[in-house]
Amino acid sequence: MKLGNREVKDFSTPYIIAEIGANHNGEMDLAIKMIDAAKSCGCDAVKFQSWSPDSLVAKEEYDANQQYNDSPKKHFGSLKEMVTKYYLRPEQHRELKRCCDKIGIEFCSTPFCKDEADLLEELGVNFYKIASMDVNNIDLLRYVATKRKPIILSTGMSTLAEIENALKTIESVGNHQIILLHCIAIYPPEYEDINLNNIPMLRQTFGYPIGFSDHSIGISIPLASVALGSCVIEKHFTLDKNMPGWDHEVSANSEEMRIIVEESRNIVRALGTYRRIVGKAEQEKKLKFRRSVVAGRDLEKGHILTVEDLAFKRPGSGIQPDEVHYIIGRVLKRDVSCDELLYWEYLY
Amino acid sequence: MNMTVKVGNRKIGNGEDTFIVFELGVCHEQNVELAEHFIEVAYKVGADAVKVEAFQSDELLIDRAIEHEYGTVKGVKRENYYQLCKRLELSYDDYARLKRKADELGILFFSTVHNKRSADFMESIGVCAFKTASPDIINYPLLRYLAGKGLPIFMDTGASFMGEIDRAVVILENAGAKDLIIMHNPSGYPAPPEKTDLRMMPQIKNLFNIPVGLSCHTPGFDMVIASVALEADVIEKPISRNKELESPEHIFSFLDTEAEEFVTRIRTTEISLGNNRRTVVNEKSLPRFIGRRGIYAVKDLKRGDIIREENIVLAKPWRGISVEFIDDVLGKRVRNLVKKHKPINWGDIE
Repeated sequence: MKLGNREVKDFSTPYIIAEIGANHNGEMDLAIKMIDAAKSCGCDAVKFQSWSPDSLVAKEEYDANQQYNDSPKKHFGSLKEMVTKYYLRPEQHRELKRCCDKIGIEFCSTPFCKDEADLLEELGVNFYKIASMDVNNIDLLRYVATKRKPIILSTGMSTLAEIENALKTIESVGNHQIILLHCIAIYPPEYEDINLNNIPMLRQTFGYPIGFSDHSIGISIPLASVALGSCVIEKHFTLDKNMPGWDHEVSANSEEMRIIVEESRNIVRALGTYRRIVGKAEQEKKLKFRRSVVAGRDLEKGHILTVEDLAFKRPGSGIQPDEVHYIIGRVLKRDVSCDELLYWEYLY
Repeated sequence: MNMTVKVGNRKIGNGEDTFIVFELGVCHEQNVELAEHFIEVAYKVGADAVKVEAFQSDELLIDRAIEHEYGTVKGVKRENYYQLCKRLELSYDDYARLKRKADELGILFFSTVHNKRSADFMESIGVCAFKTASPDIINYPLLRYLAGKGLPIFMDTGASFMGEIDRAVVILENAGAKDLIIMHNPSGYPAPPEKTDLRMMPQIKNLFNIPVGLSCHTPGFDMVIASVALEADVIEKPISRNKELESPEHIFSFLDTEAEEFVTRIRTTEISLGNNRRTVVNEKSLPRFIGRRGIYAVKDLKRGDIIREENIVLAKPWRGISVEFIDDVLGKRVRNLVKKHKPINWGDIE
């Protein structure tokens, strides 16, 4: 599976997506600064959300002024005002895409309706992200699938049956370029609700590459997902966790994002082989750390060795403790003083 | 849900012996004596249970004009579905009689049930479990009703997607079911190998952490043996006295005369699976001693001779220094005379 020109595979260096989402707070300067920051952290992509006031929320919900969380600093006005301030206009999409192309980081976004998918297609995105909320939005899934580009599908709030139906929808138009993201759509979730074990389960059940869309606070959980073979990590990104706005509090800042990028590479390197190998460094270490057979007391030439004559001490470069039964009963060719290593040449 | 399910006096799952079920459902030729004979065979060859089908066609089928098709040895056959069901059903009296037979012999007896009435009846005659048919995996009222009874449930999953299985498990769980065994049944008349997906069994077991089994719909014993190797906890297959009868399921049944072989092959396979690690090798066993090699002199080796490849042979049996230490022996000086064709011992070299 390729995302842009990057090969993406389970148990390999994960593809890291800095989810800017609405954290640009509707300000282009901030958005551009965030793209730069994500690039300097080593992220592979920045992601936006292409919703608009008309594509996502019904009038009833605006009228009720639905709040999606209870933290006061996340809201500055009515839902309608926030959506209107935060949404990205088509020309802003174009500008952000140009900016990404210029500094060499992948631009991607989540469409919430067909027009938005068409806009992203016109911008030349290399893949699409579908949000957890749209797992059962069959019509949109099918439409995006017909673009014949990879789809990264978040699976928060979804049962196995819903995930399976979504996959069948995408596959039904002949698109098999799918990456599933395990995801818990709570900001942030309790640790007990994260169920990282779902990553191998989804891989085994559906056979697609599996990534992780993280909404936890901090870096441990996304890094743990890498150990379970996660091929994509999507993490909300901010320049300042204290900024007013929707997701800043649960986002990684630059420092954390850099750690995720660097440590995930180290984790992949450290996973290594299933087969047991004693590496060169350990073989050398063994000569120092293991024990050898030594004389437990001063022994004279001609002495017949017994168990009581012997002790086992470092280094490990002499006769090994598990070879001791080969030397019991043999005769010393020379004197050996207490604590001196025995060698085969000393024995008749 | 329980990882190990108790059915009658038998435990199923989690390392227990494979639970072997002889399916008496539709191959009894509507002959209750023949069904009794099959129960006797099941008991005699050491099967764990027999299973019947409790359907009453008049209660189930609305459209009596519809045609059904099924495979036979002589090809696919079409038949009016109502008439087909009518000629395959037994009466509740017959089922009660078969249950008495099973009780007399001491073999477990259960039934597929299709509605509340058949479930209540089967419960009243004391079945050890219920089974649900594949199409009923989305019959949530029936699943909930059975969950309320408290008996173990064998749930067929033919033609279902993993998501549908998941949904049924959640519904049973929420309705209080504790003892569920998921039966994988590759569907078809008979099921073609490429649509059998035996690997779903270990996957289902991992997903739900409950026992799984195979309802075998393929001629012969290949799928049975493969499923046991994939650690299926239950194997069910129809028994008949004639595979060539033009009636459903005969084509993938086993004969009463093959019953013993059926059971023996399952038992042999499961015992053979053993451990991930060898723990049963006897280090002093004769094959190891005879098959492995020692280092022997090809001519008399005198004190002071250097041991070289030309004056030794690596031969059976293993006596003296084992062949694995050859690198420690080559180049060493002989201390004691080693006669031609005698093994070299550590004490013989410096």
